[in-house]
Amino acid sequence: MPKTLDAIDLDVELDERLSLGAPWITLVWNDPVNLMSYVSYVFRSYFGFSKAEAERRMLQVHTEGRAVVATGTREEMERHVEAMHGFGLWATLQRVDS
Amino acid sequence: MTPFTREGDVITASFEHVETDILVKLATDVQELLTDTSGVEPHSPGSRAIDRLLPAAYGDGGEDDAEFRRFTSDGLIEGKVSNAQSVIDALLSARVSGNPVRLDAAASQAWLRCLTDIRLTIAADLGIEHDDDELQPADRDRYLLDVYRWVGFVQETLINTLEVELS
Repeated sequence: MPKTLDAIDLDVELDERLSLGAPWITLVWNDPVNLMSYVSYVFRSYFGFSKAEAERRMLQVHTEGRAVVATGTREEMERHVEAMHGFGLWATLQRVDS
Repeated sequence: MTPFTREGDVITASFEHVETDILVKLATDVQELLTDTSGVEPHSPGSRAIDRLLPAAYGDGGEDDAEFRRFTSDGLIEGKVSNAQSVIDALLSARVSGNPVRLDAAASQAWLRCLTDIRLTIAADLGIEHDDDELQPADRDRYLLDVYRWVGFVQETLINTLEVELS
């Protein structure tokens, strides 16, 4: 099971990794098809987010069009993106500074 | 259809014959779509459903996207085809036995993903790309839109049942 990140950990980790070199992030994008309950379920069951955290990020996807759901190496993010595509979510990865 | 409910280690739901026919057909459509991608160029007019089932990982339309798809598409397609088969098998064996559909943990996950793939495929056919697109369907799309919403209802009841296990 991938490591759980809460909002604060994510920011700290981003800061740490920024100082070490460019990290990569996994983004999940809004789409009109997937049910909000499903997106929240995937965030909880795959990333291990709490119910509140999963719903916060799901709503961020819905209202802002996208949300960061993970940070790390390129290889790790490719694994997450592949898993999200397995769930039918629209996910991409990119470098933080791109 | 009766909503999914938990019975010990399995979750169950009952489907009418006509509902079974519809879901088996839709799951088969997903399988056929995914097993015949050889001649389909990504991001071409005929590839809208495929592009949504196997989206670009980098979104830059470049070599990174092509390479990601090259390395992951076989595994993703295999998983999606197998998920669809799980849906078909459960529905047909329920029909033969006259019992409700019974799903263990693995089958529940296969159903969850396949119902998503079915909705993504229908949405691509209907041209649903933005949040308010489905509100003004053309008349010819009304049946497909009803099916699309019904599959969403099936999935919602499945999620409600599975969510309890995460708490």
